[in-house]
Amino acid sequence: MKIKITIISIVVLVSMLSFSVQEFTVNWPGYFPKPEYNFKRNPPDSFTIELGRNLFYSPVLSSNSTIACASCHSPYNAFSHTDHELSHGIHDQVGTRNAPALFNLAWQKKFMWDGAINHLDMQPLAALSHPKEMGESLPSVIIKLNESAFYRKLFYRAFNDSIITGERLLKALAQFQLTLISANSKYDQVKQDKAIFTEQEEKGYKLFLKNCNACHKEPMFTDYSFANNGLPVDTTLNDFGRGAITHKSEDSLLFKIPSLRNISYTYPYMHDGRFKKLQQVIDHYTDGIKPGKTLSDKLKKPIILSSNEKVDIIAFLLTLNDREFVFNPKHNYPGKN
Amino acid sequence: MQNQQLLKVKFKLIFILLLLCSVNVACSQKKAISIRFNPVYDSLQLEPGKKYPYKNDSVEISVLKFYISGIKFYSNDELAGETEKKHHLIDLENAPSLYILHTDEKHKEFNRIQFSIGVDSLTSESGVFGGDLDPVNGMYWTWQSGYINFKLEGKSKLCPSRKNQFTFHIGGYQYPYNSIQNLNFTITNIDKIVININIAQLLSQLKLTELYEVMSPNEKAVEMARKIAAAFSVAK
Repeated sequence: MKIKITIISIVVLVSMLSFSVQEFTVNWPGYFPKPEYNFKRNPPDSFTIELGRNLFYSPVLSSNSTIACASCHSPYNAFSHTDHELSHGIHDQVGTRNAPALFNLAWQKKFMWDGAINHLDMQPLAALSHPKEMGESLPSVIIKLNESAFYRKLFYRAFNDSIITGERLLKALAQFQLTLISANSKYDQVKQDKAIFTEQEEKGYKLFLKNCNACHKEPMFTDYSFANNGLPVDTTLNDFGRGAITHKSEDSLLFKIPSLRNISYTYPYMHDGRFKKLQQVIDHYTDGIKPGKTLSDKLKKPIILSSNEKVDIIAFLLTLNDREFVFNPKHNYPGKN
Repeated sequence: MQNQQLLKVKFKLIFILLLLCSVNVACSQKKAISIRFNPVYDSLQLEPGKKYPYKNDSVEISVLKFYISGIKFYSNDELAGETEKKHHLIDLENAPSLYILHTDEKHKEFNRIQFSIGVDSLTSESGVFGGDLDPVNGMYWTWQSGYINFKLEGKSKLCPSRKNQFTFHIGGYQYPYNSIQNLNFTITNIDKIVININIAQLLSQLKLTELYEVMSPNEKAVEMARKIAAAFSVAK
């Protein structure tokens, strides 16, 4: 009898274990292209996503426990840093770039304004180790997390093992970020025949397709490449973008083309946050382009827009805001479990 | 009662079967091949923190870590086997890491060994891995993606740097600064494969008075990677 009970209890335990991890399907609309991220290497599940979410909001990743990922990537700003031209890290140190918004990251090939990082998994290491951002090291974070009963529990739930490694930490952060899909803007609803553009938005859409879509390609509103968009160099920063990474002269002053989704939530604009208003951005493209050796071919022919047309384009750009994404409680601070 | 006895018999049978299986595994003759990576300073064994003569002065090594990848065994030109684990982190301070064991399933003979110093570009672009490739090992750059293929740190009074330190973090997986090095050696005695890494030979080719820091993928790193490869040889 004892043996039977033991067998039954083992069977029950095993089945409990196998049901404890719930697979999580990341969904996106059919008109999105094929993602770059290889989900097979890091298949999302609810517990790992929850762990990643806790890590994303935890200052434990910074050397003095003051800065979390969410400090500069706030959910209410589509995970960007509204109102800050340049972001600040530990000890109020100011960096040299504007914190980019985080969404639809599975489609991105390279990360950071200069593409220095080649994979979503590896991206957190850059912020974690930067002396002006989190000023930490991965081995030190692992030690801190291993000392925390709370995190050991979360890692156990996610990996069936409470040993915390760099690989598991980075995979969990990637999984949470992969769930940040923004695909329910008015533009998306129009695409799915659930809404229609106003006359002005429709005019703006047509002007957008003619003047902007070559680089900010729909439906992602970026082609994920790098370009010199004719911004004069800020001599207080002397940031030459991708050229400093590849050491190639043809890459000098190239920066990542950002997505225009959630555009109202992600100001100020450009890699150094120099423009506070959309109007200034559009004016830059019509009147402010600085010619140079590496200027994008697509900007060599002047963009001519009347002031009415500019208003129409902005009306269209506002249809790219995804309120549901920005206020999705599943993306928010997880609170105490 | 009968049921219970039957169950007991069943368990005994399973136990015997398991025992037989394990005996079977132990008896099947697999050939274990050991490759030893042996850091030396000319004829001396290299030890961390010990002083060695260098260009009328001295030098000491504090860190020597590198990746060995894709070890393959060839019988002339025919592939005779490869290690199951693809990437090995060799660390002067971690003695077990200096030995790579390979169990040859097919009993094949070989006379040539091939491997790379560093991590290939496909692995470098495929996201995070665990074990030897876990970024926690300090062999992954944080500010720009890519593994450090070869890390050598130490000091010599000849270095005009802070605390007379030299720091070489050699990596880079993308053209034109790809620093991975492929090596090929003829093996005469497969029962004792020892690959020497002669740090004296490497340092003799460097001018520590001028070059004492390489920490990003660039021309200097590629040049140094070639010199590193030349410091590897099969021990006689």
